[in-house]
Amino acid sequence: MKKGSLVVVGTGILTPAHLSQESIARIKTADVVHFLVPDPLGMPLIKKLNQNIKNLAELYYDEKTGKNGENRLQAYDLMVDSILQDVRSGKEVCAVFYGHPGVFVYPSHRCIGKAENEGYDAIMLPAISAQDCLYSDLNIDPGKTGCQSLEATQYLFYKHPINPFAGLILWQITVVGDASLKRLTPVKNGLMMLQDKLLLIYPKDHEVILYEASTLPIMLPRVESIKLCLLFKAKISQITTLYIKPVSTPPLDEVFCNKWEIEI
Amino acid sequence: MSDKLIEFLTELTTNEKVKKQFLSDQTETMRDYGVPEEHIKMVVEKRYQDVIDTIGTNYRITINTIIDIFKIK
Repeated sequence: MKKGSLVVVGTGILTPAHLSQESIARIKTADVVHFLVPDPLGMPLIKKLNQNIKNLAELYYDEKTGKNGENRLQAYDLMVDSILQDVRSGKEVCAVFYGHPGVFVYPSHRCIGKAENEGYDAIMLPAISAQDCLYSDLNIDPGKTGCQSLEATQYLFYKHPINPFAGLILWQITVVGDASLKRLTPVKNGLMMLQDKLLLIYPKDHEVILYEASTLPIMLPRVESIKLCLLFKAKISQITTLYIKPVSTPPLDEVFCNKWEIEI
Repeated sequence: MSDKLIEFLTELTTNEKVKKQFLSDQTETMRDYGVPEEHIKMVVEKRYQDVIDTIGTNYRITINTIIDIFKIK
């Protein structure tokens, strides 16, 4: 029997425009393609490239019916099992995820790790993530001030030291504070908790940006500036990201510069 | 029913010529692709949520991360 293998690719955010030539080639030549893509523009192309497809969305957790496990984590594990089953049966498997397949995607990393542990070849190809779109749409160069990027709930529940002189991107704010892993809408006080913690670092009238990348060619990205103290009542969706601007330029490290005789 | 709209939007994503044509005359460009009049109206009136609902976008499945503290549980 042929030895199975796995390649994980991403569609980018605006499909099919963001799909790389390398990813297209991998989709085309795979024995089977598993995909988790939210928008129907990518689907026809994937179907055109490869007839043997499996839609992982069918394994997604349903909050209302409790379908596919008891929470999102269990549903992701079902996806991993589905992909690995085909790898173990000797197939060249291509798994396609939305955006960059390795950025805020639990099942993709889990698949790669499991496949490698079992002795199969497994690789991930890079793709365009929402963070890449954010840099373009907000005209931000992370090389200018630095940029921190955290999952919003992780930021809430852990003691992350935040550098206010660098930008801060907080992801998945729609499920911020959700410890049940069942919700896909904000928990009660989720945004209030987030605002409360951010106010320990930033002034209340500090400008924050609600950002949503454009997912259709007819739409512009959502770029909405609000004051931090109004975050609790912001209208957000499942693709909203929060970008917090640096408070100011960082102070110069004069002691260091003097020590090394650096003139600025 | 939304097949023509999906087909058109896919073309618009990747075809510069169609994009230019669309920017100069949205309605006629969509008509050329056989997009139904009610869907043309949605696009022209910028009713994006209706477009998203019509083509069946499922943003639920964009939430795919679990932070470590929950994996330990």
